[in-house]
Amino acid sequence: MACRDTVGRARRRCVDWERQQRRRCERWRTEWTLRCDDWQRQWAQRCDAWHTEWERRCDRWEEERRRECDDWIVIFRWLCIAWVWVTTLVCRVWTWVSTTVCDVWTWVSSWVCRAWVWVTSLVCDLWVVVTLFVCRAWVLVLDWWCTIWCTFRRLLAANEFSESRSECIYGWTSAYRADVDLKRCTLRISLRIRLVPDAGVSATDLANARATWEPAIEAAWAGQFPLIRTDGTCSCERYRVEVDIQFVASGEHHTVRVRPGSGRANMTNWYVTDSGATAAHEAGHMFGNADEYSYSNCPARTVTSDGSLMQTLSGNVKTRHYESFQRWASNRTCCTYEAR
Amino acid sequence: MSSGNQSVVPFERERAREYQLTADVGEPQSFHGQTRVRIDGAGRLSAEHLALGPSGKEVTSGELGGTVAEELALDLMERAAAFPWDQSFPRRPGIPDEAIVYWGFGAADGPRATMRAWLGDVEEDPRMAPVLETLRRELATLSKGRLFL
Repeated sequence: MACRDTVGRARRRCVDWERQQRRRCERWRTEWTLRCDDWQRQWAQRCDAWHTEWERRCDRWEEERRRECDDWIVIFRWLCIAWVWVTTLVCRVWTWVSTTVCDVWTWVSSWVCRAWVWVTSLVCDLWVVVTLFVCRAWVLVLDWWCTIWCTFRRLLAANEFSESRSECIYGWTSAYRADVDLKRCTLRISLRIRLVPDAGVSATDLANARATWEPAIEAAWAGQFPLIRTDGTCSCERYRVEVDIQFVASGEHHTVRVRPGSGRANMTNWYVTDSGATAAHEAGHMFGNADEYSYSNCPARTVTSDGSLMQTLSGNVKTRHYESFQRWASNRTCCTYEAR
Repeated sequence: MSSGNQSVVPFERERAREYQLTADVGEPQSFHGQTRVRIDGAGRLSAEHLALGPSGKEVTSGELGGTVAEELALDLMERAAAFPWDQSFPRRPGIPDEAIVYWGFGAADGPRATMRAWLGDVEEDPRMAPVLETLRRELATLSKGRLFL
């Protein structure tokens, strides 16, 4: 996975997280404010109802008792009226006290409710701030790590590529030059080979061999598969692979001894009569690929049967043989490219 | 390849004609197949080439027999006796596609020494290189350039 993408994704996650948490806090605040309002309204209504009910009872008490007092003789009527007045007063005091208690309860409980809303909202907001800080700090760390990682990968992708390879009882150095052209989206692979002819190889034979080998290697290896970007946000969605074989007198990636006649060619010993397919196969080793034919000395070797050039000279290049190129391009660009 | 492998071959010059030297180069599965050469002290030389056929099975694609001068054969036996038979393999990583030479040497009725070496090392070794060179030359002559080690 390309680390720039990871950083971008982490940054977006932080933003999403903040939005989501802020929405939650807001929902919590709204919900609890409504509950507190409901609570206050309900208790206010109850207190009103209580007050009204007791006012009515007191009125009725006063009215009924007064009516009863009218039947009494004068001297006792005044006593009765006094009694009514006192009891009604007690009733009204009771009404006032109980209503006040109810109102105080309503006010206090509503205040506690609102305080609860305020404190929990504050905790919620603080939670958002703290987690967002941690998230952004993590993104920053990721960003630094990515910068370091990409720099490190770029160091691995020097234009002059060289890498030790080993397979079974074989060991060699894969070396070539790689250049990216960002405008044309091409990856140019240059392989410089110094041919050292044996005494029995004439200049004409060598020239003929070169004329056979160079186009054969280029035809076998160039543009077989594009390198497709599978991760990252680099400018080139795909790279075309160009291969340039150069037979040089110095500054070579590989030295090949050229022998006269026919014989057993290997990566650094070619025979002047060797075919273009042989040269293309040996160039495959120079690009870092191992042999794929079965061999009794290498029982653990990965043997293929899909018509691979590294398995048979009549075969051709497979996507896996671009592994070194795709790794180089991925390291160089810090995106992920795969031959497909 | 053989049983009773020896690291030191008790070579008796007066019985040199009874000794046999074998050289198998490559493997049938490799691009160039395997070339097997047998030569004895009397100068009898035989060779065959094994490769994979179209069906993927091992087939003999070339076979020949002939003789070489007896003095030359005796010289080869003498040189073969001086090979570093106790040499370990591999002494270095091989170059991709580099062939392995399987040497075998001994009297027909006696113990037999065997060893493996990279073809490149054989070509560079002062004891083995002349023997390989002679066998290559004789094989090229007898097979008219068809077979090579």
